[in-house]
Amino acid sequence: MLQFNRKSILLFFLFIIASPSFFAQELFPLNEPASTIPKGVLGLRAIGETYREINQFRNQFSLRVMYGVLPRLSVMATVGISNHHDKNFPTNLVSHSHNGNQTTYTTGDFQRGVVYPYRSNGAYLFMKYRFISRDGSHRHFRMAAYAEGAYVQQAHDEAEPNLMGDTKGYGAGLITTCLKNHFAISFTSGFIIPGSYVGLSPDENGGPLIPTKINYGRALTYNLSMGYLLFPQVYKDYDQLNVNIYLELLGKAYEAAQVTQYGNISVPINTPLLEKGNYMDIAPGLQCIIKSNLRIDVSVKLPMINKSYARFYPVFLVGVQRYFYFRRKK
Amino acid sequence: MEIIAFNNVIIEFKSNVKFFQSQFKFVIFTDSMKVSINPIFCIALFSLLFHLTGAAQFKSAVIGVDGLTCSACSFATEKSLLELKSIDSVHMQLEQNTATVFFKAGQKVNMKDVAQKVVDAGFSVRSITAVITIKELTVTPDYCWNYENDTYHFIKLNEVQKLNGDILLTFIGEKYMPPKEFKKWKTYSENRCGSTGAQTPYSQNYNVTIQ
Repeated sequence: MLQFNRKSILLFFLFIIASPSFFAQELFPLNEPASTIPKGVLGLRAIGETYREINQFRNQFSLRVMYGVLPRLSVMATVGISNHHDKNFPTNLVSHSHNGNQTTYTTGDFQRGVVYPYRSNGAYLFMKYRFISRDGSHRHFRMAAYAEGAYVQQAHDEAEPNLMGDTKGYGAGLITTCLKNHFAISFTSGFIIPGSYVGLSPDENGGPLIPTKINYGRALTYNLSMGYLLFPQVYKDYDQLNVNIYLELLGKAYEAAQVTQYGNISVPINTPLLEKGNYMDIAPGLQCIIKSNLRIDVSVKLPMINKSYARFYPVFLVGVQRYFYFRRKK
Repeated sequence: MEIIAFNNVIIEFKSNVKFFQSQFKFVIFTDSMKVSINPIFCIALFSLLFHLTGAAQFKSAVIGVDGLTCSACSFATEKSLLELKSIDSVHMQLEQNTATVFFKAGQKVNMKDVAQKVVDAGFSVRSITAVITIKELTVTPDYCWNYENDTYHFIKLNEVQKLNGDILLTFIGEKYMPPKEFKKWKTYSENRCGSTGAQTPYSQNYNVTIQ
């Protein structure tokens, strides 16, 4: 009887990619490869993410516009909405108690699964510059540097920063992609320097809503993506359906958050949601490419080492992408 | 053979009568003038015109493309090449890593732009071998041929060659081959022209060799 745990998914994938004579593809669902978009080409990507939190679905819908500025330079802008957060922090993110004349503030585990309205995720910008290209027959080795930035105004209530929809901030990193016939592998590593968010924090003991500021933890990210072309075995024409399978490992290590109230009162952290942490998710994915241009990805994120407190698992992701070529005769 | 002037500008050559024979009289008609000229002058003029215009035409080229790994990559490369006015159609072969382009008659071909289009799509040129139709051109080692305002420097030729018909020209240079391959050709491409046609500066300089 087959057991679909994380280890078996990894072993299955390694077994498949050990087979000879297939091409691989580096169009990873959850990570950018070191390759760039062709010059002058416009891309559009619609991304959907959903997971169940207690008794409701947290959804995020994003639209990304991509453009090849130069053969080696691509830029992307993403906007979206989600129902992950409210404008204010959840009740009891920070709670207080009185002891005589002393008031003690503390962070605690707050209620999850609260229904929030859909709010804007602001804007997320990304650019990458390919600075190494070693191309050969059915293979290449490429490296690119990326920089990203986001402006988000959401009452994100975990220490873990996430520039796509949770926290504002900036980041940068390196992407190294290697592809040879039947195997594509890419390593993405970088850092995130998040900003902070100031919102009001309700306390279940009543009283006025307290201005609360969370400085999210800085983070290092380290992702390993692998891809494999299931079929066609031999390319004949553009109309052939391409089916790829992917396996991505997504790692992050982040500092604890700093919570302050009334501008200067530092609140001790007593919940794992706001403490420092690290985790690695495993994300198998399936991709279809129709007529060499329309790309549809489906992935699912599962925890492998520890877990992210910013999501409930499994997290399902869908992406639909198309490039637009403007035929300018020169 | 009669030479008929058309609108005072274009000279149209009629029939294929041999023009080496001195007994033929060549007549040039203009709008209002009828001039009779020396046949030797006409031979010189004819040769010069052929030399300057090249009497040549690029028909097609096979471009070796490195880094192609998927049909979407091929698709992008084809779209990029089709942006050029000089290219009529593109046939990609992903298994062989090649792009065969067919040029439009009468359009000037800039092979530098063709190579750049592959780079614009995100890939590398491994080789370019073009089919060019040439009428009666004699090339010596290091001969520099002036064609359509560009210079084609014939390198690595061991003997004098008389070119007539479809010729396979391979382009040599950093833009037309991987760096390791170019190192082998570096000394050849640095040689100066051994024999040239006209002396005016030209916009592109290509190093080529005959397959």
